[in-house]
This record gives sequence, C-alpha cells and structure tokens, in this order.
Amino acid sequence: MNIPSLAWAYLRRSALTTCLNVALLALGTGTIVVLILVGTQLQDRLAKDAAGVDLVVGAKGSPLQLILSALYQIDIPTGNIPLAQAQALAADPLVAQAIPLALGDSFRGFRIVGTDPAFVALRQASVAAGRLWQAPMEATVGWQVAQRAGLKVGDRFNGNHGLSAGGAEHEGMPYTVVGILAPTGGVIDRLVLTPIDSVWAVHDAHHHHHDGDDHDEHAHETEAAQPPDREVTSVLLRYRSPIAAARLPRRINAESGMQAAAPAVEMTRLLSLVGVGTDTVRGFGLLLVASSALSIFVALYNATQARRYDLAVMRALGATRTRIACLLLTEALAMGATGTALGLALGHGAVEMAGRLVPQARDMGITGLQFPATEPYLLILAAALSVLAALVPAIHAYRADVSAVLSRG
Amino acid sequence: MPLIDVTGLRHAIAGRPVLDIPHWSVESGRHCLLLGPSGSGKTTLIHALAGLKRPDQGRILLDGQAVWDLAAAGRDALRGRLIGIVFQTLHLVPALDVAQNLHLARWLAGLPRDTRAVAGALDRVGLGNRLGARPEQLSQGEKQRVAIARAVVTAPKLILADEPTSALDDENCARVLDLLLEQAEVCGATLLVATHDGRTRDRIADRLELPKLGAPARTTLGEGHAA
Repeated sequence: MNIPSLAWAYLRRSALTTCLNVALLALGTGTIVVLILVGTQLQDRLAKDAAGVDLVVGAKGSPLQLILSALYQIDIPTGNIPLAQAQALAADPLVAQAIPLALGDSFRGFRIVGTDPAFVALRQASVAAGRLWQAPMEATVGWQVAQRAGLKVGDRFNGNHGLSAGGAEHEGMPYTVVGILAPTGGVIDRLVLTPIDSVWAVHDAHHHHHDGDDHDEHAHETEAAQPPDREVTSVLLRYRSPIAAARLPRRINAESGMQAAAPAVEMTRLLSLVGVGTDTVRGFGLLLVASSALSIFVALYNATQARRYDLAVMRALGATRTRIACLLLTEALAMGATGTALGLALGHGAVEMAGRLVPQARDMGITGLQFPATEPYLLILAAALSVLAALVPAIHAYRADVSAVLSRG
Repeated sequence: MPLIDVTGLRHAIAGRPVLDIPHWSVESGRHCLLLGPSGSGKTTLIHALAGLKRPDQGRILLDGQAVWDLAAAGRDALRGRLIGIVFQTLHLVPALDVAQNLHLARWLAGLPRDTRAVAGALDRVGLGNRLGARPEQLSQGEKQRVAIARAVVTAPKLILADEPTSALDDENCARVLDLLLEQAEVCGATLLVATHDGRTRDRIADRLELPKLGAPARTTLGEGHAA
C-alpha cells in the first residue's frame, strides 16, 4: 500500500467522474496543443517562405494581397508592372538582388511562375532530378507538382489559363519537364518554374488565338503585355544595406506607379488579424482547461465531504495530516497528468491526421510529430491547476477534526 | 509500568462536564470495560487516549509516553504503533477490498507490507476466504470481524473498541466479545471496550464506570489485578 495505489483505488471507485474530468482536461489541452502546433508551423512556414526577401514590388493595390500572391502564391496578384521599371529596380544601388515573377497560368491548380533560376536559390531548393530550366518552354517542377501530377523529366504538359484549375488549356504550347526539385516543405514545392519568356510566349500565342474573346480578368496579368512593352507581375527584392529599408519603399510608393510592400510588416498585420481568431480558440481551450480544473476541484471537494469518515478513520489508524493531504493532491495530479497526457496525444494525433488526410494541411507540411518548446509549460499549467483544484479539499482534510467526524459517524 | 495511566483528566463539551477521572490506570495485558450511558464521555475518553481529542485538563501516559506532550505527527505515529481501533460504525474503506483494508492499517502504522500477517489475521477471524471481497459484499457480521482483524493486524499493545456490541443480539454480542478477547490474547494486547451494554459486564472484570454529567469516574478492578 502506498499513496499512489490508494489514490488509484479511490479514482477507480468513482470511475465515471474520474473519466469525465480527465476527458474534459484532455479536450482543453488537446485544443491548445492543436493551436500551438498549427500556429507554430504556420508561422514557421510563413517565415521560411519570406526568408531572403526584404521587399516585394508590384502593381498598386492591397499590399497584403501583393505579399500573399508573390511570396505565398495564395492570392491573385494586384496587376502587372512594366519590365523596364523592374529592370531599373534591379540596377538600383540600394538593391542587392531582384528576382522578377510573371504569373498568369497554372497546371492542374499549380501556378506556373516565370522567373530566374535565382528564385530556386532564394528558396534554398535543390534539383532532385534533371536540371533547372534554361530555354523557353522548359519547366522545372516542384516536388508536390511532380508527385500529384505524376510528372517526370521529359514529360510534356499544357498550361491552363488563369491561376486556378479549370481555365482554358493553352494547346500547342506545351512545357517540357527538364527537372524536378527536391521537397523543401515550402511554397516552391507547389510551383511550376519556367523562364519569363515562356509566360510571354504562351500569352502572345493565346492572344493571337483568342483575339476578341471575353477573358477571365485574373488570368490576364501578363497578357496585356505586348512586345516591346513587356510586363512582369512582381519583383522580389533584397536590400544591399539596412539604409535601403528606410529609403526604397518610400521612394517606390511615392515616385512610381508601383507599390512596395515589406513582407515583415504585412505578415505581422496578417498574423494580428488571424491572431484574433486563434486567440479566441486558444481562449476557448484555456476555458476548457479551467473548467476541468474546476470540475476536479468540485469532484475532490465532494469526495472529501463524502469520504470525510474514510479520511478520519485513516487518521485514527495512524495517517498523518500531511499524508491525507498528499492523497488528495495525488488524486488531483493523477487526473491532471492523465488528462494532459491524453490531451497531448489527442492534439498531436489530430494534427498528424490532418497533415495526412486534409490536402491543404498536407500541402503546408503540417505534422503532429513536432514538439514545440511551449508544450512543457502546458504540462506545468495543467499540473498547477490540478494542485490548485486539490488545495482547498486538501486543506479541509488537513484541518478536519477527526474526533468530531468519528463521533458523528 | 501501566500501559494506560490517566491522572486528573477533565473535559467539558460546550460548558457541560463530560469527563472527570481523578486517576485510572490499566496494566499491560489486562482488559477493561469503559461502562457508562450515552453521553457519559466514553468516546471522548477513547479519542483522548488515542491522541485524537485533547482533554481540557489532565495527563495521559500511554506506554510511559505523555500523549498530549507530543506534536500532532508524534501522536499519529504513537497511535499507529500502539493502538488498534474498532470503530462503532466499523467503517471499512469502501474503495479497498478486505485484504487491502488490512494492508492499509499496516501501512498507516508504518509497518512493512506483510501478506502473511494480513492473511493470518483474516484467517483467525474466519474470513481467510474473503480476502478479495469488497466491504459492500460483506454481511454486517463479516464487516465486524474484518474491523477486528484490521485492529489487530498491526500487533498493537492496546485495542480500543467503541461500542462494538451495541447493535448486536445476545448471541452475536457474545461472539464479538469472544473474538475481541481472543484476538487481544493472541497479540498480547490490552483490550479496552467502551460500552453502555450491560451484557458485557460479566465478560471483563476490570471496569471504569463513567457516570453521566461528568461525575467522577469509579474504578472497579477484577481478580488478579496487581495493584
């Protein structure tokens, strides 16, 4: 006999109450774990996809939309900018690197991006098979594109008009797969990369074929460009020195028809907007954890009332006050630890399942097999709440007048 | 040296005197009845002896140790080491089976786990085959026997039994007293039975009679008493 076995005997005797308390705590903990895991991985992904880019320059419009479309490929672009102006930016002494992007078409929902090979280095990607694109109509595809579309080096495919699946196919202008990129867990895994010339060529041909047709507005970001007035969708810039951060965005926004948006600023804004939602759910999770702590408190308080004679008998048999208090604390801690452990398993399991079964989560590389540094605090929080819940009943039991309880029967 | 030595013990509850024992002692190995009507302070005296209820005045020596000079933890340890208690309500811990109830008593007394001692104690009260039974599965008589086994499983020097026969018919009253005396003899313990039940008078010769309303207690000693 020892305190844990005695605590276990009591918990087992009130199995239903114990299970409900544990389930409540597990749900609360699990909710918070899901939020922590998804939130952490989402932020990591956003930071990773924005790494190495200090400024994004594109057409006037929403700066957030510009960032989302150029960096994360999850929104439509704000429009196009003249190639000449993009080239001028590249030559600017404040700019260390400028990578142009030309959007407009897609393949089975994966965006076709006309850009320089420097884009691959920027994303810290490497070639898994074949090579990088060199000539027009050559394409190097991201890992997910190759996996999902079953593409291999040497395959040919036609692009579709517009950035989402379902657009008209550009027949007669097939791309040839010359390389497949190794997986990075970043947005580049979902892109088809090709020279900017390919995008222009496809749209020049498309323009000839469909002259006079009604076209999807968003699918024409580069289409309006006619030689020699070529256009690109956006340019990713890296500053040469910190002083550029103070000068360049202001100058571009004030003195040109283009818009400059800093990823750091816009993503902070986005996360603060999204944060309202996650804070609400996190608050709900904390509420569940607090409810379970309250429930453990009520259960233990009622248990000490119902078991006051039991506890008095134990005292009469030689149990110290401390031992009785420890018994109640152990019961609370056992419920707390079990609930938290189950919650952790539940949270990690749910995120892992989502990462495997939900396409969007899978695309983002969401996994439940990651253990954020904040998780131990969750364990400490749950343990602290459990102890807190047991404190009042334990003090009650500690102070109980054993003689009076035994006399009353 | 007497096992119990009480001097000048007085206690009042809500201003009403319930105990007045100028002097009372019990030699080790003797058995004694605490006789008195309800409200005469029998339970109060048992609790005071066990270190559970501090008396207003007086001194209680248990095996030479002044009970109320000890700190709370010391009294708990002394109680666990020296005393086995049979409660009026019997009260077995319902979350534990019969054997576990006895293991609990040994653990709380600071004794090592001893399955043979537990089985032996239950065997002696005729419940060697009920080790795994839950308290709610036992008859009242069986519970009484488990309660007695629990009191003796720690091999105490003093067994305190609070109204052990009050709810029993004559036959069971005699059986329980026999069992208590037998078990006390087996472990060489002093048995102190607090009761208002006149049927117990002729079974234990030494008596401490506690009149109602806190009048001074009277001691009657049976045959063979050394004093």
